[in-house]
Amino acid sequence: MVDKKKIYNWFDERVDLKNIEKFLEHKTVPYHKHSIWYYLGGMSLFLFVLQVLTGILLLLYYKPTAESAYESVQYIMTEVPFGWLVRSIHSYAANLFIGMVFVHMFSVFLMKAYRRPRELTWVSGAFLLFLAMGFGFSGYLLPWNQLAYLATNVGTNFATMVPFIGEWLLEFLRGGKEVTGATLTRFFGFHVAVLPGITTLLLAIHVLFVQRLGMSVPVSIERQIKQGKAKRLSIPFVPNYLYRDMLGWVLAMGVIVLLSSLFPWELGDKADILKPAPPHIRPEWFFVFMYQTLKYVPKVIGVFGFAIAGLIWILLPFFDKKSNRGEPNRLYTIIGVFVIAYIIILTIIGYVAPGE
Amino acid sequence: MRKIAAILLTIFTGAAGVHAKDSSCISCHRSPDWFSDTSVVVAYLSGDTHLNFGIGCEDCHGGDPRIGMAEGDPTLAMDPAKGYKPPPDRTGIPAFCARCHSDIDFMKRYNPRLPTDQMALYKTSVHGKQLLESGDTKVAVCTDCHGAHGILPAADSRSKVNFRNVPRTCATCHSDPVHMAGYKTEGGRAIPVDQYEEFVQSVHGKLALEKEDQAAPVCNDCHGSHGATPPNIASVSASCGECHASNRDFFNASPHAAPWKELGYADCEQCHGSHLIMAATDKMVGVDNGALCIQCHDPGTGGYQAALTMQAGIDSLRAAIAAAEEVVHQAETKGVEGGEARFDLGAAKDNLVRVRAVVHTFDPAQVTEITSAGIKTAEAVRLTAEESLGDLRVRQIGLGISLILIMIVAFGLWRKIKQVDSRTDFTAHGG
Repeated sequence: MVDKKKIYNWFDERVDLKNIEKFLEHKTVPYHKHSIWYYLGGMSLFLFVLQVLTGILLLLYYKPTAESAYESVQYIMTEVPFGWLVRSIHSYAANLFIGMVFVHMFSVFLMKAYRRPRELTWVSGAFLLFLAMGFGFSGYLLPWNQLAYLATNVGTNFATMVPFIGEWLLEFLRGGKEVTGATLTRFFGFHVAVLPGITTLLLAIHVLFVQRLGMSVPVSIERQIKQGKAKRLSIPFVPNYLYRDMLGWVLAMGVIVLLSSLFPWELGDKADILKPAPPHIRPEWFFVFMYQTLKYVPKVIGVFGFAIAGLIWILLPFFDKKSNRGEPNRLYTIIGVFVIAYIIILTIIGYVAPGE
Repeated sequence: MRKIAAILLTIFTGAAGVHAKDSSCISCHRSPDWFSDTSVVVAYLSGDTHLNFGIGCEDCHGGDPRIGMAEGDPTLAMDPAKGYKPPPDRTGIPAFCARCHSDIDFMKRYNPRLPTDQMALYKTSVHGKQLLESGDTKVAVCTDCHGAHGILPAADSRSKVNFRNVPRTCATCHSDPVHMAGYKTEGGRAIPVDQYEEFVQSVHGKLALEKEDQAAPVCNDCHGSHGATPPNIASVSASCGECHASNRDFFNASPHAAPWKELGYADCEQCHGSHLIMAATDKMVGVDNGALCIQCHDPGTGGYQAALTMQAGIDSLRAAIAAAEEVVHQAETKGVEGGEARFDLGAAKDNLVRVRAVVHTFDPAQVTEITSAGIKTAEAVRLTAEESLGDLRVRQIGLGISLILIMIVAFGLWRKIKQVDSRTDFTAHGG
């Protein structure tokens, strides 16, 4: 018979289990009518972990060269037991991950959860979104199919709009003047080494900030509590919040399975560099609002504008004095709603009426 | 400037028989004071193949290029006593070149792979006969195609006899109605001047001139080069059969071979044309509009029935391949087919390629045998690909079951949340 107590004591002596237990026992999460938005961070983390795990499995068979990338993915989908499922989960979870990070960011923005002292949590989160988009962009090319090849052509072309270093940046991204096997190998390197390394570090910092500073309670709730119109409520992290988190993860898994079942992630045709591009080629969905905007404004202004807008977006919390004082800030709410509406509308136009 | 020119001249002529700076031929012929036209030397110095082999002016023209300049009388170099021979007239050009090019021992020293039968062949050619027997100096001689002093190897893309340039070179005379006026075929008809225009539109012309495919025939591949002669009716299939060997053999053993001879038809040309040979299509066989068979075979005849049978076989094979191709492509893009079906489909496509040659037997039984085998293969591939697409359904069912399990777990968690919440004091942890 295994002596559980003995094993517990052995570990406790080495890793201070009692202290961890004590910490988890006392860790609480605010509980109010908007607390559902708290789960999006955990959901994003879950999807990221799912990406890492399925990515490792794909890595066992994937070959990052123009000659064999498509064939290796084909092999994964047809010959490797459950390879099709792993790839489908990886592809859908990737898109859900980026979508979730977007929604998480906007919920944080609208609830002004970035306000003092959580500005750095916000900044690290914003950079995590950029990294997520980088993951999506680099991963999209890896199956080396025609759509991905053309979309990467379009996507990397944006680099030329960057003043002074545009041409250099384009060649850095593509590993040459054109999208070739060199680009594929390069993107593979970004996707499985560079981006995961940076993301893991930044994610650790982000989670550490969340842990150190706790969850932010929305300004409106905070005011109600102060005015005595509401009670300050919270739930234990273990097990109440954790169960809720898990329920979210299981439901997310359900959504991925449902999508994989109804719309299996296709492989498409192998990339053919000599084939002419069909009309209305567009980048992945999370870049479409930017791509569509560039059709209406001069490209240099557009790219420069998005760079400035992104920078301002990251720095907005530092100028939100009202929220820092615990007062509602209608202007910031309007900005947030406008940005969300802009992204949604331009994305829809990009798919429905892309124009030339 | 003069120093640079002298250095360049030295470099370019370094290999020549007599060093250029010592050659009175080059010194005089490149001097505008002596010659208004210095193109002979310029062409020679621009990379003439003879120059590269160290063959100097005196090796062809005789004389002594080492003298003349110092003495102040360049004509001394062209002393007949020193072996100088004036440039030959057009009639003498072939023999002039043949002094070396027909000398096996001499040519071995420079280019052992170069044939030495050009003169012998030229004498058998229409050009050679016209020149040497009839004294017609309008016909082509060596220098018309190869140049005189700027001769480049045929492999050089700038050479007039490079495969890309041969049609244009031949067309210089053969597309010129004035030049060709008066020349007649063996049958007494005027020689046409539209061969080049027809050739550039042909399947061979497009391959050779647009795709620069060296395997495609140009003028000399069918007509010969030094022994250029139009292939007559009896030898057309020999020309075509050089590349299309199977088609030639099938045709020669076919029921068409004998009547073709009796009717005086040129084997291949009768259906495919000569210079304007278009890419052969499956529509050439059969009884539909545009098919060649019905030009001779009327409905109700055995030939008509044979054409119908062959057409049906080929059409069915094409349709079977197209149907299989569509399902295989669908299965591939859906990620349920990994290339095996496409590989197998290659066998059916091979049958289509084979039947396009075998159709020259004009034997419906042989054609049907191959098309049936191809159709069987294509059908099998289609069924395999359809089965693979069926796997997609199995996957969906499996995922459906997983979804039910996931929902059960979710429901369990929801119940658990309710359970723990009922025991939790939400205000106890506040603050």
